Amino acid sequence: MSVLDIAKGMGVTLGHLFKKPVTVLYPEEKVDIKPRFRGRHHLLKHPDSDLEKCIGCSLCAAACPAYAIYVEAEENDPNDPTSAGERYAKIYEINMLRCIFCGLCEEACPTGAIVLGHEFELADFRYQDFIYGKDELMVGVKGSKWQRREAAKKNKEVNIGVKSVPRKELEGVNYD
Amino acid sequence: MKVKVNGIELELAPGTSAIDAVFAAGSDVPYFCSHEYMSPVGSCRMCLAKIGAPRKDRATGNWVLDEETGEPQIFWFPNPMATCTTAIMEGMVIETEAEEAVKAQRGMVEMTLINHPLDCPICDKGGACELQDRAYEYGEGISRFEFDKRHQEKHHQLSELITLDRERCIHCKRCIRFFEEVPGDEVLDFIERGGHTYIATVEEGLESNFTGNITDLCPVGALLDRTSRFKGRNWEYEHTITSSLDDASGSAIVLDSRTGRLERIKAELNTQVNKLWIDDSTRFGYEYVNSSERIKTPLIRKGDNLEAASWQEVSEFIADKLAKLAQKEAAIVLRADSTLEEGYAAKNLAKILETGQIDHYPRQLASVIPNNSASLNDLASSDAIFVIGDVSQNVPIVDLRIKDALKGVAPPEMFEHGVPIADLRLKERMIRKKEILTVAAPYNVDLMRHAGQAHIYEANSEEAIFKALTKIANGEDSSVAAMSNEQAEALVKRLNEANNAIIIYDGFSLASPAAAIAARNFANAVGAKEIILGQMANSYGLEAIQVLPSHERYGYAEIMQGSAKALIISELNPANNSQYAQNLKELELLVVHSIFENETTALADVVLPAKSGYEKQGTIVNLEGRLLEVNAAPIDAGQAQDFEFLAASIIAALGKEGKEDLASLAHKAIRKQFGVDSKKLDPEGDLKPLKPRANNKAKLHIQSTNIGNALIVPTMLRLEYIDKNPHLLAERGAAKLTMNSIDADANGLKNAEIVSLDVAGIKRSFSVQIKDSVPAGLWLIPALPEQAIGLLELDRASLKKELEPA
Amino acid sequence: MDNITSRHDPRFEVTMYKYMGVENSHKLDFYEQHGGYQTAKKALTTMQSVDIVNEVKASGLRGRGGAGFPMGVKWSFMPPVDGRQRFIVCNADESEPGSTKDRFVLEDDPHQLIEGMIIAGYAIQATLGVIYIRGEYHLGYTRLYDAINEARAKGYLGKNVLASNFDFDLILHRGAGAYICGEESALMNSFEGYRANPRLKPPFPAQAGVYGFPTSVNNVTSIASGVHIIAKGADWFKSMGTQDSSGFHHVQISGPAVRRGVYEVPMGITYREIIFDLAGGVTEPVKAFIPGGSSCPMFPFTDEYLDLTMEYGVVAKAGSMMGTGGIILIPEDKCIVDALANVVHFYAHESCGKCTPCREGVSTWLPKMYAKLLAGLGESGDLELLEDVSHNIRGRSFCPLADACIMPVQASIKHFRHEYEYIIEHGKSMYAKKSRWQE
Repeated sequence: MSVLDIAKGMGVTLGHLFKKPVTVLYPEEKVDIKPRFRGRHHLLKHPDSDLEKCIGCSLCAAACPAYAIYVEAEENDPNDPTSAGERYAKIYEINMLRCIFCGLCEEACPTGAIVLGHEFELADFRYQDFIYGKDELMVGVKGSKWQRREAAKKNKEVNIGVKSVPRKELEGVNYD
Repeated sequence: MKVKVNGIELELAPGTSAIDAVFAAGSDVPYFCSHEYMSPVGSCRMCLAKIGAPRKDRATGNWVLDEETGEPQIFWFPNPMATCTTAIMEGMVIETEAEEAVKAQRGMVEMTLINHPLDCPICDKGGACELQDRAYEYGEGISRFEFDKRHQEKHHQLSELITLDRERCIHCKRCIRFFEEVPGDEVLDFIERGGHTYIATVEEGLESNFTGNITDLCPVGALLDRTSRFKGRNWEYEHTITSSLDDASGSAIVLDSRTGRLERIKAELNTQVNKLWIDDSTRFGYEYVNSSERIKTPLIRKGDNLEAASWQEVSEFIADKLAKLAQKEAAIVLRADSTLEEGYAAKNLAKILETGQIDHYPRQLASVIPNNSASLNDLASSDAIFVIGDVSQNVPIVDLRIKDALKGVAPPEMFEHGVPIADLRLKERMIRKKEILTVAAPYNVDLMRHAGQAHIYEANSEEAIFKALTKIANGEDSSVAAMSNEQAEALVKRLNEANNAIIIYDGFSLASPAAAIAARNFANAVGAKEIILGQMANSYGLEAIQVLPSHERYGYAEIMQGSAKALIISELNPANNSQYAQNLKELELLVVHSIFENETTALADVVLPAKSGYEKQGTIVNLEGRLLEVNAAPIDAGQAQDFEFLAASIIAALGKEGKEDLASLAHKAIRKQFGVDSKKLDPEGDLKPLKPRANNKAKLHIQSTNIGNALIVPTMLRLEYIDKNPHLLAERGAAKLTMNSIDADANGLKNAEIVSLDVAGIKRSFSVQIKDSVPAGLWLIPALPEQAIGLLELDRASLKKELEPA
Repeated sequence: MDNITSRHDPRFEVTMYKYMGVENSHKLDFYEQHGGYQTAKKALTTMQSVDIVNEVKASGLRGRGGAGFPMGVKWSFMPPVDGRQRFIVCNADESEPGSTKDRFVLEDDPHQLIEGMIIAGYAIQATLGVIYIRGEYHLGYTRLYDAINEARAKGYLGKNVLASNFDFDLILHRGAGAYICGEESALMNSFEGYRANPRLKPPFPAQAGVYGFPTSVNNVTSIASGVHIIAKGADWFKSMGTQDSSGFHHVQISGPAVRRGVYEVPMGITYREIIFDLAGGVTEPVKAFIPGGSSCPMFPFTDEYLDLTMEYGVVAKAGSMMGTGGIILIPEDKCIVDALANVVHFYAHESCGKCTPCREGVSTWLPKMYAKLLAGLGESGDLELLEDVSHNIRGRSFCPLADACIMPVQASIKHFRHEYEYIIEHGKSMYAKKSRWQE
């Protein structure tokens, strides 16, 4: 090994000193997540209407390798439908402790209703708080149960550590 | 006959269809229109195969030989043939995997799918759909049809129980054929033609007792059960195969349950009993088990209130009270659909309590065990049937099996793959041999439409009829009520000459022991076998194991009239009778084992939550004497328990536990009595008919009345639960009080008017139904479990109008 | 259509159509004056029923309704007399586009049919005859109705027909306008009051027909031919026509011919003779002709096909069928795609909906494909798709109705592929001329 080689190596090191660091100072800073990241799920609605995309078909539950999803369906009231199909999910629950974030539910969904998003801060205190129902999963709801509890307590906006641009499947979701 | 399917040689009986030959060879063809127990029609054109057969030379009678091989030459049909409608021939060659057959099948799947909507995710059939499966197995995967699909009504309610999606229909005609061929009620048909064809009902709607079967038959999601609509997907259900406790047939059913709720009942195959069919009460009458009103914990009386307690607590309370009683002071009553195990438990408890006051109800004066019993398959191949009573309401499956006999087609031989898929002996609109069936009843019963001879006799003349017929059979002169002499003689002659004559009678004849004996004598005189229709699922079994009072004075009616000081009663509500309610109040201890709160639980000292017939594990004996398994579905019923558990806890609290538990005692007793292992029953049941006991002590003290102005008639529906079966209630309506228009006019009643009436102490409400086929002066009242079938004197002055019809 | 029949042609003696168009020919008096009911009398009084069946068998008469099954053989399939009711059914539901031969018998000479029914009934020992007449044939219905009443009043129908021991009566039943009722088992369903769906065979009508009783279903002119076979003998009948196809037949010419109409001709005559001699040639250039009603594959209007003789075997060998003998000429400037769209539309409308290939293929898919082609939206691959779908339908359906639609489609593609290709490529037909019914 010659001196020249050492100097080359040091040169690389030196060069990095002046580059912008890749480390994100999370949680002080928000994380820009890659589009295909698989975080907590969102239940989506059809754009420009209040109709849910989910038709309660239970295929996500069937596809789930961790048995984390439970769906109970009911017939839509034709005069005041909840979803665009004949039926909707009366109960839609995901057990986030069981979920392995594999995304098979998204693959199985025939209507694109359940999509894995970018939120990842799901820590909480009690088992029951890891069961996410329709209220928690529906598009427009920001943050984990704990984050929203904290925000409500402090009377502040929900603050999540994600600032990325959602991929196109996440219709209606935004992380700003 | 030798046939060759895809290279496999088989020896099959002549008359076998090619599709069964294919399945017998272990191969597969897709099919939609063909169905077990129904005529093959060849309308879906799915089961196409390349078929050929050797030919015989007309002149010589020898096989035409292939010049090269010297083997009989195979002459192929020019086109692929529908295997379901092709009968096999000697030497036939069937190729389901030949290129042209595969192409034909693929083309047909594509055409079947062009108008079928792709809404499988919201279809209740999804996951259990024949079209879905076949499209995956035999389809191309893509469609070349680029135009709009047919648009038709997606939510056509055929009845309160069944919904029709006309877009999904693939016109296989199974449902239409079912109604014509099986129950003989032609209530559905195609309307319009060509690509516009759709299914619709006759104007009256679906007037049949077997409508639910079309939801099982439908190969797609066009016909669906409304009671289970969107309750779960097919792969999510827990399937429990069991025997129905709805009526005395013990029909095989599948309980589909999910998260502790029973969501659907479907028919299961039992080739010996119900084949693939069940009646609507069996199928749709289950919703009560999910009711929020169920009693879920034991309750114990604290002053005026019943308060929740544990089984332990209440058993000790009961034991305390019972221990203070002398011999013969306690009484136990079971409902007649309790299992054999529960029956033995009751008997053991009675033994420990040293009482003979034990009974099951509803039970009639005469035995339900025939002397020379016929099985339901005997019935289906019978050549002379005499029915006295109302089979269609009592045990609807017997009604269907009678209609099998009218077709003159004996139950088919089984293949390894099961029931023949296409039984070529069956045809559409077969000419029914009505002449083999004679029906007599005190009023116009449904089966009379299908009978060669129908007779309406004056109520309670069963004994006279049977006696007169017996005289004729013995060559004496006699005249039979409601029949001309020629008719009576012809009936006796036909029964006498038949190879397999069967006499069927029900509660009307059992209401009087003399009538039952006369019926038995007549059956003997003409050499006919008997089928006796018990009122409930295990009437036969509970009588067979003698869950009966030790003396006449200890029967159900006597117990209710105060013969006991303590009463343990399971699933019956005697306090709906005001007179009995008074007596029950006098009891030192009233233990009520019940699913719902009612008049009797209101009087009880202890209320114990009971299991429904879908939650019990046990054995029943159906009307043929067939032991059938009853299995429990995982239904959340709180702390509900069956009578065996109840008896065991009381025995434990009394400190009188024996060496063996009640379950193993029952197991041993069944082996001793019936000679079968109740834990290893055949899935289709073990037929072990018994002989009736010569001297049956189990007579009721009260004699049957010979006069009366009202008849308690059998009903298919379980009226005790009908209020909690919303769909069935909406379709069938409340209990009907049926009368002639003369009676209706005399009392100023209109059709559908709601009235209340005191029926021998029980205040009941009815909707009036005016039918001129009912004899004038006779009112028909559907039976409750607390009210056995038969004639009674009604206080017509107690009739009150509740509501004007809308 | 000019109602000219071949009785004006001196080369051939006309029998069945002898009195067509003559005033009052439908009346009983007229019929009796011209030897009416004498043949039935002869048959009923001097012949055994088996003799009649044998005579008809010997004559080689083949069913004139389209399938060409020998009528005598069909009659001999009847089971032995066993006390059950037996039926003879006359299929007068003539609905095939291009066919009108039965209409003239029904309207102008109904007694001839009644006499034929009596003989046929006697031959198969059926005491009840059913004439299932097409609902649209109003004049035919009223005349036949009156004729049956006249005959009954005269003792030709009812108990002891013509003073013999044979009882025979007729039921006249009107259809409600479904082509499928021309299929014998659908006809029987319709007659019984059920939906006109074809039945599964076997059992054939001879075993279980109307109401499950032994039945024979025959065409109007087949039954009427029976009268002349019995009157003049099988040999006379055989003297006409050829070995394969004996006797006379009725050809009906429609399209651009000089003398359109129905002609009674001996079998074995060439199509050239029919079109050019009898019908007097064509009024405009013709590119194809259909030899036997709309369901038969067409032939190009070339010498090769014009010189075919009218025989069941010959026509079948050339790739078509004799059918009902309804010859349809297709003019040169008529777009074949448009013509076939019309044929397909007819069969799509008439499909009963029982089986999948006919309901979904003929009744749903094909008309949509033709509509697409005619709208100028055809794409490459559409012709191959049409061929493949046709292939998937042909021979797979429950009854021949789907084949009746597919065979002309396949023949048109075979002979006029270039027209299909043109319309797909250019988005419009080769021929600017609109359809005649659109003008």
